[in-house]
Amino acid sequence: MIPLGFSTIIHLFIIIFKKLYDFLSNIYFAIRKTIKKKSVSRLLTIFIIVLVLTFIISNMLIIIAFLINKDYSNFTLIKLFF
Amino acid sequence: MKISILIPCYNEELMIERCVFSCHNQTRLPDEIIIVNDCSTDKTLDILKRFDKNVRVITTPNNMGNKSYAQEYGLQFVSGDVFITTDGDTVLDKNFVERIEKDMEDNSIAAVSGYVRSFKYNWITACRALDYTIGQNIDKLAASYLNFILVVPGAAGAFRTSIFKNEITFSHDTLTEDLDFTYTLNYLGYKIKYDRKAICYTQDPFNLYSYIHQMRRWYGGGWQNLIKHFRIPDKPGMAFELILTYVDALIFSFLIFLMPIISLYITIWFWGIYSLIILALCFYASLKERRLEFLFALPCYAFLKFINAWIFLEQFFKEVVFKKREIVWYKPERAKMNN
Repeated sequence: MIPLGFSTIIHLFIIIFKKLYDFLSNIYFAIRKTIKKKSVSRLLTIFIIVLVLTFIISNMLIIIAFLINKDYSNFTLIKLFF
Repeated sequence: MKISILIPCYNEELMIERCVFSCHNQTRLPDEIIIVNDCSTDKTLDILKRFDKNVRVITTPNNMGNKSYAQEYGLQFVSGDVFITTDGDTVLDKNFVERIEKDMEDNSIAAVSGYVRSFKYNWITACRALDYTIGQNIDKLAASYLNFILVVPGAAGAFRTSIFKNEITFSHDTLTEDLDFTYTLNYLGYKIKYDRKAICYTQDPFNLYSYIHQMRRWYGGGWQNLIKHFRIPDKPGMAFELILTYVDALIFSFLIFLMPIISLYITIWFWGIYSLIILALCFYASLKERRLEFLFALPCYAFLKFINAWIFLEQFFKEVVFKKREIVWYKPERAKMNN
């Protein structure tokens, strides 16, 4: 059926969540696989990946929070993170 | 695996030759091609006689006036394990049969839904192509993630013959037989796969008169099937999709016509936001299909959305509120497509 209305937006979110889920589960399985091999260098790589991901996600959350509240008084905090 | 292609046709002299050529020009050749000629009055039969024995042409005893009757008639001659359904105005991509064979290797799959592209012709077909791109790459893809395919299109579908013959009865009581089959398979719990690489090219209405008639058939058929198969689905994904598709479209259609009466200010905001969303989708579709004209289709697309909303409401009142069921098949005008 030809789509009508705003269902496409909801479907877009479903696709994004699915892709994100696949991406995270791939990382999860990669970590599990690497831990089994007990390779120190790989563990270090994973640690760095997790660190970078946490950094990106926390920054995004802070920016979103600022945009929602429109309170830029603590803007230096963003500067600190960047 | 034996694969058959079933093509019902009526007065398809402009496109049937290209359709059959596309069936022959496959990376994996079909084992049989069955064409059901529904007593065409033009040169369709003469054209079909030119093909060799690989094409089996069956003529119905009299004009049945509905595609599903012709399909039912042709199905008794199908001997393949899997059969592909397509239309006389449709051209299959060269690896269509190969894709279907690959998908059907998984025995749990009962049907495969392909990907439909529209031939380039004018602004109406461009808007329809835009609808297909958005609908199939976003809406249908998301629905497939929820394990629910609303429709296996008649132009690009494949079914496991044994399941189809045992489980599906041709009732001919709706305008969209493909939707009817898919509902039945979904409610029986069969698995349907959506393959975006099994591509076909079809001809869409190129004038407003044909467009309106086709939308009436699609939306009318949509409501007819919803009423016919109405019950609480077992699968949460299916329930979610059905509610989202129909309730959202209904609210949207009502809003379009009621909002200007309620508040002009809200109407302007609504159309502003909606236009931005459409523009973003046009941009996406333009990149996806590499068709620049999608970017300029916004005004025409918005206009056709108005028509769609009107027809959706018209068919809702006709089929659901007043229960005036109409099963009249309208055959849109055809043109020879060279692209």
